[in-house]
Amino acid sequence: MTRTPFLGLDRHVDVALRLTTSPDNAAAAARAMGAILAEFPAVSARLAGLGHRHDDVELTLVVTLGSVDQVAQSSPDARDALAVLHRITTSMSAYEPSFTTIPEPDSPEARAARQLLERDANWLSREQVAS
Amino acid sequence: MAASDIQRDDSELIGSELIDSELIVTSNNRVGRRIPDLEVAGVSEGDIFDYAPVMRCDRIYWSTDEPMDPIEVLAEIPGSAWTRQWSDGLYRIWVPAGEGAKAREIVREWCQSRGIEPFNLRKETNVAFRDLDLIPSALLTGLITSCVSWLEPHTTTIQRRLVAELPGIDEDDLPGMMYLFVHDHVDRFDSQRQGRNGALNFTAFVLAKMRTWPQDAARSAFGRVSVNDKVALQRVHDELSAELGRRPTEFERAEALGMSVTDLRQRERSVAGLLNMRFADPILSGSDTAALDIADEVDTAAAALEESMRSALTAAIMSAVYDPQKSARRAVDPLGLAVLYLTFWEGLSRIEIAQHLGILPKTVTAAMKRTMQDIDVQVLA
Repeated sequence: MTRTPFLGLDRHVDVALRLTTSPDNAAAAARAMGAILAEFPAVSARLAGLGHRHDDVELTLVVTLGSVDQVAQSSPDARDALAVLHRITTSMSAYEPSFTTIPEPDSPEARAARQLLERDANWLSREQVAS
Repeated sequence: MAASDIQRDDSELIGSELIDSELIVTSNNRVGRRIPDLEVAGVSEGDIFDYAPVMRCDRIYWSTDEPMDPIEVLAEIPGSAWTRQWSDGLYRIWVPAGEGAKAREIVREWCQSRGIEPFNLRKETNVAFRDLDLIPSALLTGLITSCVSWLEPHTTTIQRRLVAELPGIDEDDLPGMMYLFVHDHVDRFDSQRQGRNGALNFTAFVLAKMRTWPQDAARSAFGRVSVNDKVALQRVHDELSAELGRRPTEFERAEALGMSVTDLRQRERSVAGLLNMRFADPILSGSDTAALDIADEVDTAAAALEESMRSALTAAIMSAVYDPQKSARRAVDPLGLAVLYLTFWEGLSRIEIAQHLGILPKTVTAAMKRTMQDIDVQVLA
């Protein structure tokens, strides 16, 4: 389980959101997430899981709330990260965003997400939105 | 006996033996080729069917929970009556046209007198029927076998649909299923029926029946509602695709069907689950292995509700920790979310969270308390 991982010397708090969509709309969901992230360039986020249940695609987005100090002190960066999560849960409610555990790095869904990003690094990116 | 027609655009039906057959214009105004008449041991199918001339009959059919022998019922019916076994397990009795209503009452009374409940006891009037007992069994068996032999290489699409849409059916089952299907339909073959290209031959008749076989079998296996749902979902998808010039989103599909997205997903899941049909599209263009199947056997309705509840809970938590319009000191509370998330989703204890975040345990408790208090339980009701 990924818990407050160390990134360099800073410990960070990550939060995972799972969004559910149809195969047809997976790319649209990624674009919508990219559009939100584009408004908050300082917020770090990544696609951490990709799987499907029944005929739905499940995307797991991990948003870094900030370093432990930023979180504890409610710094502007941490507030921005919170704003991203809030935006996703409100403006993308049709995708039924819900908190979930962060996928293990060697889990099948994490591997699937990595494979996808290796093929298309811009799949979930702010640049894709800008273009 | 004259042969019948076949549509040329059904490429699977164009076998080598058809290449040299006569070109015809089908009833759908398409160019096709005649399907050859069958022959068994030098006897043409016309001569075989002449053993059992076609009659016009009324058919009574029903099912029961308990096994029964319909031949015993025949003895109670005055005049001529026939029965034969079908592979679908229904009981059937044929009587001369006009005698159906009386025969149905006799069947009803016979069943009641023996404590048997006839389900769905129905009458169909003026149907074609042949008494197959009049055909020498070697010729009848040979006719069915020849028909199946011709159909097997020419109906691969239909066979693929059967395997895809019916659980527990694999390719090895198909020859036997096809034999039973043809056997079931022999008695109703009406060789006197005239079409645009003359009389219909037996193989063309069976082929026409086979076109709806997968759908009929799915209806029988899963119930009419599920299959009709499949048809309705596909129709809306096709209509919207044509109208929009692109694939419709699920929101558009739900709107067109007059239902919520959740209902649409539920219905699509039910159809896909029941009929073993999966959308063939990969998750993303060019993606072949990106998605993985998370095996589950959860109830669809319960899963949908659970998903909605999780989403509602997430929204409620986010509203509790992020409300910039509020003037309170902790209107935007990253620590509150971190504590809640690490507690309930990552399974950390209060002490562990305090250690990880470098704060006092009482600060963790306070963050948890204020966040929980701010969650609007009404949202979750």
